[in-house]
Amino acid sequence: MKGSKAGAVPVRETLIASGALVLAAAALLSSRAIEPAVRSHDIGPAAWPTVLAACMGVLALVMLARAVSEAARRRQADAAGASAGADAVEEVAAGGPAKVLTALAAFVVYGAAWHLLDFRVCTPLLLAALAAIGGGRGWRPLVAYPIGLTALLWLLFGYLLEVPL
Amino acid sequence: MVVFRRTAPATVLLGAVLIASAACAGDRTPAGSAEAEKYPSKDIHLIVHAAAGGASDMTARALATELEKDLGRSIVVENRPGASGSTAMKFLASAEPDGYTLGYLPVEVSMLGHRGYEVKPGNYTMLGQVVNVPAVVVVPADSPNKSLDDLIKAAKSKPDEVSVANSGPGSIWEAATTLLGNQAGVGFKPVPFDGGAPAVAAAAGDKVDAAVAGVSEVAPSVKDGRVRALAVLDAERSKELPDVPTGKEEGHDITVGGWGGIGAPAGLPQPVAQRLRDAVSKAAQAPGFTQTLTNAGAVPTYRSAEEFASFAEQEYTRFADVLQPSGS
Amino acid sequence: MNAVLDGLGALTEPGVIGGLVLGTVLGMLVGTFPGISVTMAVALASGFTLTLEPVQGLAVLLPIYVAASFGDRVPAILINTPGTPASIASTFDGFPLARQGKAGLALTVSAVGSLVGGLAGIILFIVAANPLASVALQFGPAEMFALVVFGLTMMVTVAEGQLVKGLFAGLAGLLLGVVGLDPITGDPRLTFGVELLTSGLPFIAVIIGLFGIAEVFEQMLTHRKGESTVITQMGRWTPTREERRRIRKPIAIGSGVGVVVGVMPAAGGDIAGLVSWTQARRSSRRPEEFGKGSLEGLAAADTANNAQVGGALITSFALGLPGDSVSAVLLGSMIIWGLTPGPTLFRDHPDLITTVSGILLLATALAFLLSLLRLRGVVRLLDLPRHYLWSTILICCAVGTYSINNNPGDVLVMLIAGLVGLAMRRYGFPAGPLVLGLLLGPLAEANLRRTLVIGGPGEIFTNPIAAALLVLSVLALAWPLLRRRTRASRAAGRTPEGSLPSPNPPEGPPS
Repeated sequence: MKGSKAGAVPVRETLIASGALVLAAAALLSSRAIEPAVRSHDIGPAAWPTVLAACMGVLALVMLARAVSEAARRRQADAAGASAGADAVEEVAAGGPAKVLTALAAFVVYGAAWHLLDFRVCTPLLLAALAAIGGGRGWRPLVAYPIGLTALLWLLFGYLLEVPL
Repeated sequence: MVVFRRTAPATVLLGAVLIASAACAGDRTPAGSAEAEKYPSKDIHLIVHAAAGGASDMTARALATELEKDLGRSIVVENRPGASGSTAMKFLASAEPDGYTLGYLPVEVSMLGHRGYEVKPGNYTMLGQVVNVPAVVVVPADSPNKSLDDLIKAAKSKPDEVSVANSGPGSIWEAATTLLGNQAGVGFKPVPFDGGAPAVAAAAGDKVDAAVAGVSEVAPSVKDGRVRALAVLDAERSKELPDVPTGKEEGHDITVGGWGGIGAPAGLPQPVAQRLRDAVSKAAQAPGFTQTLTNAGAVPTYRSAEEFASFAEQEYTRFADVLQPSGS
Repeated sequence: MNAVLDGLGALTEPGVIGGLVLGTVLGMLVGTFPGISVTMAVALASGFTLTLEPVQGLAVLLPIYVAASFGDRVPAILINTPGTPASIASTFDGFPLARQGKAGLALTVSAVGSLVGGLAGIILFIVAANPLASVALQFGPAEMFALVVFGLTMMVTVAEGQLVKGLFAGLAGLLLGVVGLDPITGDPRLTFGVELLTSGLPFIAVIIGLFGIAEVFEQMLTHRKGESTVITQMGRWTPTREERRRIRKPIAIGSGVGVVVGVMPAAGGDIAGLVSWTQARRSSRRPEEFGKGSLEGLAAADTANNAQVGGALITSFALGLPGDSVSAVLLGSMIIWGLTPGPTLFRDHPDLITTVSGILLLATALAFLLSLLRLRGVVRLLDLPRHYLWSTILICCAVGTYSINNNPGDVLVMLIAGLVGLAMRRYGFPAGPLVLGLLLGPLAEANLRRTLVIGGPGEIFTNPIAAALLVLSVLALAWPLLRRRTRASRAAGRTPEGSLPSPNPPEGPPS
């Protein structure tokens, strides 16, 4: 069991490093694509981002090399001292990803609805949805709390700070 | 509100402050005066392209205070900064032309169109110009260039080498530098900074040969003697800097300024437009407004709606030569 | 002496006292609420104060600024969301402390640090405003570039433990700082045709997303029924004698760093906190605790954040140059009142300088007392069940972010930054270096290129201040690597794992 867990870390790290490499490559391509419309007296607009993206690429390669060599090393000798690193990450709870995705979806729907309806109408609905996602049940979290907090927010931002909500 | 009972102390404090401040805010809004016409029957929004706290915001808010007195309705200043000001300009152009959405129109209205943004003076019903901040050419205190002519001669002997700080790429003061160079037939080396104040500071620290910025931005440093002003690029001398000659006095007849006015979306109905033109005219010349602007180093400058509209178009044509497209 | 008496006399007016109390309370609230920027609060308040007498107006505006930097550490510690960008570094140790059940202690220590830092800044303002301001004026593009490079070396320290991933995150932050219009030519870069992005990534939206939203998402992802991951207890409030002794040095460092950064134009509390945190870590005997709940780290960050205020006011009042965006707004108000900031202000209005110092002192004292008082209410707030806490944080962050530019696009950026922050946490990339890159990248590039435009590459190396700062940066980079190497090889010599026997090489080239 210990062996499988120790082996999972380098694989995970290899995937992460590959992702970083893809990011760096995309950044490099986008930076190269910057075309100056105006002549300039210096290094031009593309130089700085290109250098940064190239450095990112180098670091991603270092990450990849480390993860791969680590994986090989662990396979050879079942290393006793599994070093900390990604181990610090807390485990995902069942239904956790669904909660995050539903919350995001609620915000997207809210953003769309907000163009049509007043802030004071959609915000209680969003808050009720978010409270339900968090496990709130009953009239307090689903009715009283959304209306109360919306009123407070509207008073603070809409009325006092004159923000166009 | 049941829930909030649990968080009593913090909420009570917050609530108390809110109510107290709300009461103060309420006092500001004049009660609906007995207007014969229907317009305005609700609050008016004034869109500002810059963040709260800057010179444009200050001008807009000062004008809003005067407009409120005349129109008898609350004027809510809405800051919508972003994308070099084009966010607000486009927001205004696409708003309903009903007189309830107005905007502060900065000089960028005549500039952004040449930089690839869909912004041009024709998109708006102009209601009047209210302010102008003339450009000033300054040099470090110990600069060998004692006059505007010295600076231009220096640029002539060393083309594209005389560094002139300005407030940013595509900004009005960069355009002013180019316009001055074109007029005199020389090329400067513009150095864009992040705003007018840092550009002036660069001149004060002797990092550049000269700087071009607004009179309000240079005045404190000129008065302290940290920079020397060579010329005000305006038709008349500035009240703020009465000893500094105009460009014309120095033999270079050029005027550039960061102006600003008030506008509405194109297609504003005639009666509403007339009501607003009168209101802007009154507010722009009210002592409360002109005093605030003068204190801040700007020049209160009123132009009627028609004059302002044709002036903005003229500026639009003039800037075509000195600005390159750069927007998306 | 008359000027001092006149200046202090002005403070006894009821209008001034009332304004001061109002400003302090408002500032605390503004600071505590993530998303409401101090700049916005001061700008809106200045709309009301313009009609007042200058002294009355300043008595409202200055306390907002002072008290906000007391308030912003509270959400940083309790919900991992900086109340203003100035308290980014407070999240590094404040939130871990709170999770360990030491929220009360963290709040007290950071309040004390804020008090000392605030006082240090004010004292410097009183005694050294004029001479310091003229030093700041010597900083042109070349010097600023070198200073920012020095700042960027902090990435190595902030990323320690995960050096490669940390540097990768830092570079990503620098690259994200490129988004927007080119600082010299005005060309759009990495905007992908999105016009909203031409003004760059909205900084506050990004940090609220990276820290606050990502924290809520993380909790949603990992929370199990009946289990409690949020702070439900505050623990003890008062530090022990030993703890008091330990925070002395970081507080001293924070005071020094804070005022120096504050004096620099265009560098604000966010940079001050980060620099101070790094410096305290470098000189600490327990650097390994930093980032995991170190009282020293928290004290250093919060002290600098508040000391910065006094420094920024020096530049504003004595030079007429805004030290940060809040002082820019203050300057605007003063000019309208007919007070021209600059050296002449000290000559023409000596009494005003005394009054300002008095206002600052009183506001600092009041804000400190308030931060001790309010603590009890906070406990109840954190007792809230999960569903209230999550949705309240999310909506407050969203509305606060929207209100900065009145732009719904910023809220979208905040949510995306929240997802990015979640991914970074789960994949082991620290967020600190990314923020540092995003913050300093534009300054570094713009000043480098300005220098190149003005005088070519030689300009940087022939400039004494810039050259000295660059040498310092190299040293700052080399020193920890060197020291760690020595330490690591010492440790390696002791453990059986050590494959290469390398007995304490006193010096070795850093790799």
